Amino acid sequence: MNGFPTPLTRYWIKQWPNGKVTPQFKPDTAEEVLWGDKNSGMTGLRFVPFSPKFAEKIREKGVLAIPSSLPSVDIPLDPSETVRVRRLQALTQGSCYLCHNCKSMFDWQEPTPPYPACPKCGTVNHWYCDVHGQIDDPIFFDREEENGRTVTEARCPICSDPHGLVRSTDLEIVDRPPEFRVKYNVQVPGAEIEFDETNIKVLRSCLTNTTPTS
Amino acid sequence: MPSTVIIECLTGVNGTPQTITNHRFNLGDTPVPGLTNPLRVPTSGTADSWWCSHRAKYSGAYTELSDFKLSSSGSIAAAWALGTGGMVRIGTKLTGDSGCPDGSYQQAAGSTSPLTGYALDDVANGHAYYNNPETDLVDNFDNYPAANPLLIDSGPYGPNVTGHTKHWCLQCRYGSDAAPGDRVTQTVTLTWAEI
Repeated sequence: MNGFPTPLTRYWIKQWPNGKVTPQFKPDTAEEVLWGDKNSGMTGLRFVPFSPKFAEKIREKGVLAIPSSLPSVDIPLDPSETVRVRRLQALTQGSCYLCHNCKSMFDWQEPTPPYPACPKCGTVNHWYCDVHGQIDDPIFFDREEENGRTVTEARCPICSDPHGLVRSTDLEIVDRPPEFRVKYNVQVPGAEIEFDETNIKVLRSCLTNTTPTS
Repeated sequence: MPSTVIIECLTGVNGTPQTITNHRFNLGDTPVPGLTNPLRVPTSGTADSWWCSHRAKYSGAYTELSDFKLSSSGSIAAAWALGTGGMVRIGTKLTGDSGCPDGSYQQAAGSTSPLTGYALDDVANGHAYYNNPETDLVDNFDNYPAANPLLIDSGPYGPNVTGHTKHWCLQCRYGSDAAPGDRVTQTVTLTWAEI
């Protein structure tokens, strides 16, 4: 597995005093310009969403640009100010159940047994005896192996001799598709700006320690 | 292009990495255990899974990566009903990064009688990077939800370096009153800052 590139929802544009700009992606070639170590001397910083056409061009370069109509974020700067920009990435992984009957994927939220059931079609895994068919009340039997480990066998309650059961795999635990989230954090003197797909928040350090007076 | 980040599991004497997308706590030292070496509810007290060592591998074009943090749902113990004393535990340091550097990697192990993994903070058989109570705390992973993630590796790394973070160690503790059987799948979230 080679992993997934983290997605981008906006790209930055540095604005300079001479009127020139440096975009994160060159408009003609979609080539990426890394942020580098130039954190001051700007008159402004913009974070702009990708148009569908530009996003497609960038994705051809292997960057997962997400097109949207998100609002741009414009931050005016004094060239003497130093800005700190970070893109906060979150990667969530885990597993979930795949129902082979209806092909839906789901989390099983019951904290204790009974066993998982597909919320869409109701499919559950069953125990089967090759003599008596589906067994709903198997006998669980602990058996010690040669290496000292104990394994639990499910046995048929009807067969007179010990007879192991096989469990169906209609519900199978599979990898959950990775989930990425992106949030931008921009720090300028006296303020911190955070924004993602749903919120734009401005935090002002001069207000964080104030005490209301009566 | 921005960074690409994947999760790796370290196993074996030397910590051989293997890419994973989930982990099942078990009584063995294998990156993808499937249904082998399942946890066994102890007859009394608590027992532990063998610990696991995970890390993030990063690559791609970027200026800087930093502040790798790990968080849980915050309610794993309740969701899994792990019994008295049960929880998912994670090795932390009282100050600085809680991730374990490569040089301090330690292979997981356990005993067969009683059937349990060694506790991370066991003075005799635990993880040497996390079993000093003066500097370490093996904590309930539920104490690190998204609002209070655990700092694994502050970095910074880059520019354009392919590498990996320090690794984090998790293990599952379960009590004698825990019900046997499959458990709710849980998610783990890794966050980092990038430019």
